[in-house]
Amino acid sequence: MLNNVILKTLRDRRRSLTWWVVGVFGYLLGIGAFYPVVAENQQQFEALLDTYPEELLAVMGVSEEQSLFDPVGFIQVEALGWIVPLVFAIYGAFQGARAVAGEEEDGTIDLVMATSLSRSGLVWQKLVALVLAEMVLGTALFFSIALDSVLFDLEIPLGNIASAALMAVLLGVLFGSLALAVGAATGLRGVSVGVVSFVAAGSYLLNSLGGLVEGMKALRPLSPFYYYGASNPLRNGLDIQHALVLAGLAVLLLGVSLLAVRSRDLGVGGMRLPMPRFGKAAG
Amino acid sequence: MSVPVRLSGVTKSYGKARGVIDLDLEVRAGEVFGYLGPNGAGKTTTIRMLVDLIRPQKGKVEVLGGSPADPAIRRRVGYLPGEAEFYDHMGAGDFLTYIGNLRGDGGSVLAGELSERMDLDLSRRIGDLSKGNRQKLGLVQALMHRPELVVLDEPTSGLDPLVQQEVYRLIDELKAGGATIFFSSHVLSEVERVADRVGIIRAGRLVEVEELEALRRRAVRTFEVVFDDVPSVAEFENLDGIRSADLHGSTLHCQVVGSIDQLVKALASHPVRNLVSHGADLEALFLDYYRGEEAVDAE
Repeated sequence: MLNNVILKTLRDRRRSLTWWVVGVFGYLLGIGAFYPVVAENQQQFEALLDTYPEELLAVMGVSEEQSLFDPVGFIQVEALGWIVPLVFAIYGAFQGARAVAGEEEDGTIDLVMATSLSRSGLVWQKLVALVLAEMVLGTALFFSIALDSVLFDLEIPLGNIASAALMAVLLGVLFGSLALAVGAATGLRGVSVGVVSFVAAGSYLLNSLGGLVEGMKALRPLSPFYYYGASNPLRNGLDIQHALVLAGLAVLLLGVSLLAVRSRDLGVGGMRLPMPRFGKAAG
Repeated sequence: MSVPVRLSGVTKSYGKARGVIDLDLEVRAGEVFGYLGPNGAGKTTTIRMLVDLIRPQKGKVEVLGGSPADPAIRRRVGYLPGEAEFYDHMGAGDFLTYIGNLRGDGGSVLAGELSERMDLDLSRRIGDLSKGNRQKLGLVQALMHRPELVVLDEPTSGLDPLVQQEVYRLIDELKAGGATIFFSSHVLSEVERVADRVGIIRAGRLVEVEELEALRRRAVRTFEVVFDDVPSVAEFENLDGIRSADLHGSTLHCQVVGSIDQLVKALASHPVRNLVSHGADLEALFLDYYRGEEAVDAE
């Protein structure tokens, strides 16, 4: 597990990734178990939802096309609409920020980059590790929805579940590569997480509320969340074009990362240098 | 054979009084080069450029005949940072395996041997290692692949004296094996112990590059002479090479730079009861260089 940066990074993440997987299963199984209750009490729930403002429903992912009262719609609204993409994006953001900037802030990049590892090698291997970790999460998502489907008779086609999981993986990878790119350009983990949080929150609202405002509808394709969910993969299967947009953006950001890290001073050694002062012990 | 390290007109500035300015430096193949200067003089800046962690704003850095940005060049270099940071959750041995794999040469056989010599337990978690043991781990990863050029930033800092001696022995062995060693220090005695040549850096500028022997010749020697009579201090204080002369009763304390010929001849005209020489003291010489630094610092 120590042959290269990819395996070493996955080895480092195995414990935390296990907990993320447990979380995905726990949440999806909980949601699935709740569906029969909702289905039985559809009228009361509908009455409740009628009292909600339209904007709130939009943020929750409920719309005319997306009913809460069939299995696919329920999973979509309660999980795939917001919790799942946020989980995948947040996981990607943290891993992406740690990839280069984290190693720099920790100072571990010095010994790693003094070997014959190239800077581009570090970046692309970190991204591959990120993709693989997101795929582990995606696999957990696939099996947890499939399990819901079996346990609670939701009858969702496996191909559609796989499509939904793939979109979540692609979204996570996209935000992860954004975090990696910002981290590779600045060397600052906090800035990287901050930028991604801002972009994620902003583009999420743009996509969910954009549907309500006539003038903003045209702007929804600017949001990654649009490509993630607009085609409703759990109901309709994979939209190749939307998947390719997410993947293409991630590749573009990989290119940005490679360029950013190529000509920059690495590490914070320069900032950490002690002020010139003779006679003090080595700091 | 290519020049192991060549810096030509290298400038890397971090603002006022930091970094290095217009640095020209050549390290010869097979020598131990001591890079001496106070903290903050630019030693670490220089060293980080040698492994391409940072890049000069002006000038050229050549290592082993190529650019340190070339991974194939860096594979032939061993590097110990001033404050090496590791993955604390990893085992020490696992870390060495990882670094060896990144270099593409494993290096595990020598890793075990070096660790044993330095009494470093590779089964321990790095986070549980003492500062001294972390330093040992840093040294092992720097040396385990038999590098042609070894770059060590303050290699003995934090080590107890016994391990320091072991490090000096390692440097001697590396040199005997044909490697070139570039190491920085602010401790004069260790430079005296291991270096062939010394570069002194102060406030980002190289103020002196000299054979250690030549420096010694220029170093200050202290003499304590006890006479049977009471000579006049004026007989000594104006001699060539005399830096200072103090007479207390019949005891003369004087400092001499370079040749002691004049002093010996002057002493010969008096009955001398005892003569003690305190050897070449490089400390005083270096303090001269450092004094300028303190003036800069005080501004």
